[in-house]
Amino acid sequence: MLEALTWLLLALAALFFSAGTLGLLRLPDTLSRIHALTKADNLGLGLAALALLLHAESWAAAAQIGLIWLLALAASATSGYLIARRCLLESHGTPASTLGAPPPGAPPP
Amino acid sequence: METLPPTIPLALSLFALLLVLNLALGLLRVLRGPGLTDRLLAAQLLGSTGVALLLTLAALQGWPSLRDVALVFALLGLLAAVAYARLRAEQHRA
Amino acid sequence: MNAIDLLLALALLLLAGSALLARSVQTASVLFIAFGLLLALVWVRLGAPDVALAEAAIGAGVAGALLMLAASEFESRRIGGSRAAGPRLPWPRPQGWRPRWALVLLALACAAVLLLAVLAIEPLAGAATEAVARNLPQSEIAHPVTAVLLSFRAYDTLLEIAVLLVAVVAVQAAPAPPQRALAHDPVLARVAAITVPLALLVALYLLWAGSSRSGGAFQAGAVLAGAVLLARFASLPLDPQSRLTRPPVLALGLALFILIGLVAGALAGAALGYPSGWVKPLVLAIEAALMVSIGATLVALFGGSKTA
Repeated sequence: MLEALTWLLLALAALFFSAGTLGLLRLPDTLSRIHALTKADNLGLGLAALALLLHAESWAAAAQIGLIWLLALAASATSGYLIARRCLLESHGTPASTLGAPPPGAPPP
Repeated sequence: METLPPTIPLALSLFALLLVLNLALGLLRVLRGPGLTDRLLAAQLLGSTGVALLLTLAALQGWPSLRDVALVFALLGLLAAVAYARLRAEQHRA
Repeated sequence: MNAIDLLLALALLLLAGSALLARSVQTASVLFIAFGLLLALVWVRLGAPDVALAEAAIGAGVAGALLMLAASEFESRRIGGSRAAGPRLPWPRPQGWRPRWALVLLALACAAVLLLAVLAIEPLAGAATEAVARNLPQSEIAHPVTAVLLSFRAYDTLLEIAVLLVAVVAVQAAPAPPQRALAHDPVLARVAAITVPLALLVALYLLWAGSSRSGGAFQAGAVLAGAVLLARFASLPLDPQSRLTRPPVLALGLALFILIGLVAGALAGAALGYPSGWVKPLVLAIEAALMVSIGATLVALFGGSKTA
């Protein structure tokens, strides 16, 4: 029973990872590739982490897997945002001085 | 939870193989990718696929240390993207 | 050797070739980061998680960011300055095909010599591993890699740290690049506020783990440097790097290593030896100091550490 569930989870994870890579290769421009990479790959990672959680050798190991998944999620989301933003700004030729809010404590322009 | 059920190592090996295939295919984007950003995306692919691969190998080979490597992968994937985004901001400013 | 390893090896070669033949320095630096990550995976398959940790943290992480920084500085100066083909090398570029082919032949000859030398080495058939395993209980350190680094071959590690110190002294002698303030990015600031402390914890964890499994000072120091750099790139309102990259911090690792090596060695009867029963705390103390110094050194390599 546990085995069947694990196989299912891994198969789904494989599907999502492949979808992500396919998107990276076939989608037309950089911004859509970021989507494919960040979202599909992370879902695949979550499913795979779940499958591995079920067979972890200890509770500590299971917790570590969970932590790694959360960190990878946050890292991917942030990377996607940063790269996409940089990509957008450069393609529109906007100077970087308009990026984001002024630093906290700085006088307003 | 000591030893893995019998068919699981096979499942993990197949999954690992698929992940490496994804890596190899992702490299096509690295080589072709018309811009610098596309190549960085491929590096991010290596990072996230690497995390999955390391977690799988940790279970398959029975080495818990590989999870620490996965942790470092996730952290440093973030560092690379942050460095890229902020360096380009500097460059545009100059 | 199976399908996974074969694919990884081919991908590694492909990536290395493309990084060498990249058209611009910036492209090459990004490819170098990808190469570092892939190499870390290969180290894992070769059974060396400690090296994989170091490769991911230093090669793909800190050195990768450093190369990207250098490449973007290089490119921005080139665009503004002269458009002469390529950088000004201190020797004349080979013109025409004869010198280039001579270089190719020379490179091939060197490769052939190296290959013959490698093939001529008598395989040790794990003799080194046996020697380490035999002497491991005597060193009172659980993890073989740490035992080799800080007990059996502690002198080599000491000299490595000295080399790092010399390197960072040389780097700090150069004028610091102009520090440009980066605009505030609220998302990044929030994420960094969580990730930087987490990275610090990971560094401490790796330091502690080194005593019984993969980890240790180098890996922990690299993750520490990564944390500081992340804070810097996210423009967090801290100023860790100017405090961190002062000479006392940089020299701390080497100084403590020498100190413990002499004092403990005097008690144990051999330089860089540890008296029995004191091994674990002494090694941990040395590794902690090394972690701080290595982290500071890596951060100092980025320059801009001296506040005006």
